Amino acid sequence: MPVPLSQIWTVASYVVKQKLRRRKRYPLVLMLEPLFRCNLSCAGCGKIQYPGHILRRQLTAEQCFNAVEECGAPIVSIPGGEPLMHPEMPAIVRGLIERRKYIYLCTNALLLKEKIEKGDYTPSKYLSFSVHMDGPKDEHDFAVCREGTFEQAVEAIRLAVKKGFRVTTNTTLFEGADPDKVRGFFDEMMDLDVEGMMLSPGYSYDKAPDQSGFLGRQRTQELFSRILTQPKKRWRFNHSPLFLRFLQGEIEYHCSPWGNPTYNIFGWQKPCYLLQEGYAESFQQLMESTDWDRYGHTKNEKCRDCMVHSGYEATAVDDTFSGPAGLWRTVKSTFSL
Amino acid sequence: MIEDVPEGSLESWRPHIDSPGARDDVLRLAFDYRGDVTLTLKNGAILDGFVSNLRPDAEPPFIEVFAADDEGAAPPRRIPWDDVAAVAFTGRDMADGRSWEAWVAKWEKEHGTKRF
Repeated sequence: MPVPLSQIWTVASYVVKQKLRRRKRYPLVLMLEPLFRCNLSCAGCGKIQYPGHILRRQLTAEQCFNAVEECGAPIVSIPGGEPLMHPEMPAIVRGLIERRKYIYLCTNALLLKEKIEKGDYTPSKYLSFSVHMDGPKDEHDFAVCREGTFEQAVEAIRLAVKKGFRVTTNTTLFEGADPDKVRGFFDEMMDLDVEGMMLSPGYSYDKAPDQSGFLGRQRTQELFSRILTQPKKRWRFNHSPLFLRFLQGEIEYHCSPWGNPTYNIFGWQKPCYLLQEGYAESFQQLMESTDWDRYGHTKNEKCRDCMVHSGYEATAVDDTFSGPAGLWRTVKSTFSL
Repeated sequence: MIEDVPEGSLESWRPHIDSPGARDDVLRLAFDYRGDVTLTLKNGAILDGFVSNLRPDAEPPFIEVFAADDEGAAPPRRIPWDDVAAVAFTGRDMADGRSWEAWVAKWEKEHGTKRF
């Protein structure tokens, strides 16, 4: 099952509208983090290391809806923490569907089977479960620091696909990833009949428990080149084809941190999903008070090795709609992948 | 500038603040810290909590703090930098990496082999 045409049309018409309005910086995907609580403590994650009283806090459904409307992005990604631990998550998802937002609910899937069986969620073209799968079984279980999680996630994916939900996988790759094993992992995921796969090199969070596994820029390009060389026809990626070429070092892009603005219990995060340099009170204040020129891999040490999709996918999509050359690059890349 | 910043975790650190510059540095470190701190304000009030925001660009600059004893939906308390007299890093540093070390040790013991 491919990405619905309605989603492609919604995103394309949204970006074209921004271009016609000559809006230089616009949001594409809202990263809505309703809580930091999680039922895993993964080696490469720097998102959840907070005192207990912070982990017990969460955004209300109303706060989520206000953020979504304030931001206006056509896609809402819900990471965390583990969103399925939020007691109001079914109501949040329903509210976003009513607002015709395309939702990627990012989950480690440990609670997914239970929530689906309970009837908390209904299949919709607007809702995708984006399941965190960090590679083949051994690599995944080690990266998320718990044995048995890969099998649990696979079982939940099977059930979700069978029930008619849209399901994608979300894979973060770290130093030491074996390209052949990753290619085998892609086959395994496609065998589960997921809609597509998302890939990203791990961002070097300075708060992550394991500081040894992050990839430098050149290593990222080498690794992704080896993984994506002569891709199999059956592999489907939930990315702009230009972003995949960027990961392989074939295109040079600059980060669009405003493309995936982040809202969480602290406010609107400055400047992006990964760096925490203060919080704005409103989306407008975020856009107006952030000195965007300070960020990017050539300008800021903290951005030097970053090639993650929350920074560069928006750039790739913007490139597609930059004119006939961008469209042609996208068409060529689509058929060469 | 603040001196004698500990290498590694700041847990248990009680910096000596003797100038506005030193205070500003300590507040930046407190915002980056992933544990609670104890703030002493110039009016004598003491607040335990998590520094969730730092806005040097605001007029006047402020921090926001979620008090450790506010368990509900209470908003953070906004405190101008000028009101802060002392900061102590009293809460556990949740980003100290101990969970990762424990997991690697457990995995290696169970599998009878070194992972790295």
